[in-house]
Amino acid sequence: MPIMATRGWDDARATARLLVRTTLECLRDINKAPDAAASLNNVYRLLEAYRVNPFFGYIQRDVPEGKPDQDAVRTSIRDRHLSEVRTALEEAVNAVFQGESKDAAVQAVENVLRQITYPQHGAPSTAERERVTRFFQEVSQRLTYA
Amino acid sequence: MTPLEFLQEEFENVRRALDETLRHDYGPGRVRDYYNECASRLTSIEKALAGVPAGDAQQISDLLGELSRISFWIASRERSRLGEFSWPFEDVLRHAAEALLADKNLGGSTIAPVVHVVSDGIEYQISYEPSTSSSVNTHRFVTISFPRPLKHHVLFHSLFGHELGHAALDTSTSGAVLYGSVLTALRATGPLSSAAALNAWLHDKAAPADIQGALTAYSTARKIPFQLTDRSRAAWLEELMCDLFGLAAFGPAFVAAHRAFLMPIHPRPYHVRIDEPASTHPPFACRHKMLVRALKLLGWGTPCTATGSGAIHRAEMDLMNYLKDDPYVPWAQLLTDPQITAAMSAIQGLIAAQTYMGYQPPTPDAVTALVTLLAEGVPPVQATLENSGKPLLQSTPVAQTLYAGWVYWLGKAHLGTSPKLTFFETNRLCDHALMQQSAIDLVINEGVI
Repeated sequence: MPIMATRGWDDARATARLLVRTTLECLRDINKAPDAAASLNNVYRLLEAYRVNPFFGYIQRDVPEGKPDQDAVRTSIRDRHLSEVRTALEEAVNAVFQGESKDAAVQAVENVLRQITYPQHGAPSTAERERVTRFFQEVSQRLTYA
Repeated sequence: MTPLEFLQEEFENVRRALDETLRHDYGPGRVRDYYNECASRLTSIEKALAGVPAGDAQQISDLLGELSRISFWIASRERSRLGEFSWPFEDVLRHAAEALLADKNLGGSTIAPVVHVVSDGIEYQISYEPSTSSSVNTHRFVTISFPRPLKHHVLFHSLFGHELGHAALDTSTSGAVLYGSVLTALRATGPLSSAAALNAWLHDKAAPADIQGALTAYSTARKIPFQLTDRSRAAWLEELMCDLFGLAAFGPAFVAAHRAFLMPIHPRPYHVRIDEPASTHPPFACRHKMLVRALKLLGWGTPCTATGSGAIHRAEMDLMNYLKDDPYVPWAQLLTDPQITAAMSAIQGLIAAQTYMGYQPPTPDAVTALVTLLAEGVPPVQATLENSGKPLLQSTPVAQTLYAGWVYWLGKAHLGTSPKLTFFETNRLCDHALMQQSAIDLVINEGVI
């Protein structure tokens, strides 16, 4: 196995961790977070993929780690460990939005992100902001040990 | 060297790589968007770097991953092999991808992807940068990969319709339709309605001997019966959706390519992969049967020309017979007619709403004109001259050019004189036609004449 095989450069858990870290910074103080709009739009895309796609992280398409692709040259970035990201999101929804549907929970999170990114959409209440912060803290905690 | 110092060094390395390559125009046009997106991503990482604590090993590792991903996109652009794929077809796919794979951002703006085309490997692929990507500044990258050996084989390129479907699944716009009404239709009833129903179907007494033999061998060796997982059912549903997507995009030409390309690599058409953790594709027989039913339901299974068209009509009949030839047992039918009709209706609505792509049967006159040109060894475009010398130009959609190509290829026994064109020559002429059609469309749309 190549010496670099253990590098997790196409590990969805790593990218999700970065997204969550930046989102928490934005929720604390959006003016201090670097490239807040770009980062929050990336989080939004992840949340939408999770909300819209019932098979998100469910269908195994990964090439097992260490096993070379059949093609001579790779033309895409694989999304390894997406199922762990799905699980982290699912558990965080259940922990913070008890009794609410996945759609309603994710859209509540998205609304707060939209309002802090584009103030013309209004301002979130303190309770809404705190709930969304708790949601991302739950996701972060689960991704740390995923 | 500390981990943070290594991260800083790696950042400078990637920045140098970007400046040494993409800063220069690499190929015709469009490289600027690609360069700008990569440069913006590096700028974001530079800002993040300023606040990384030296002891935060996890963040350092995660940012190294980000830099690797940007390196990947830079390297991918370097090895495009620009001369090694059909440029006119690339143009068609680029437009379709920009329309069908656009996404909405938090502010409600539509964001098209940056499309990158390469000639690489041996497979048809359209890869959308994962939805989990954390480094996107504005645009995600889409990589369209043409199989290198099939440089001019545009008649096979309609298989990209299936791949476009896969990429569309990864958007919140097109994906919402596919995972909404299309998926609802496909799993409303029958074998795909649940994992239990799928396994009941697989173990049904009506299953072909090939399946029954494989299942018996499995249960004898493992002491438990083979069961398809719900993950396999999900994967099968996606594959069937993408086959229907390809049909909606390219019409009968897609079915012809699907059969010609996939049948030879499926010597056991009913075979279900039971030697892997999860079966990812339904048996070829099921896919072909679904497409044949869909063709009939859409009214695309009959010739466009009437009997009076003589040789052209007979050539079209040969194509139809090839497309509708379904030698597989009824067991292989996974979907009912209403399921297929509902799914196709939703997909056609999606394609019609967002792009000029999407098959509509050609008129009898168009079929006659295009196929006659091919039989004469001329690229099939509708461009003639009036007596006064004024050109009479018509726009021919890509799917109709491909349709004419298949009519010629499968019905050539009725057409023209010997020697007949080879399959390669037929493809070359259709490839040329797509290029000429681009120029014709430019003239028509820009009102040059």
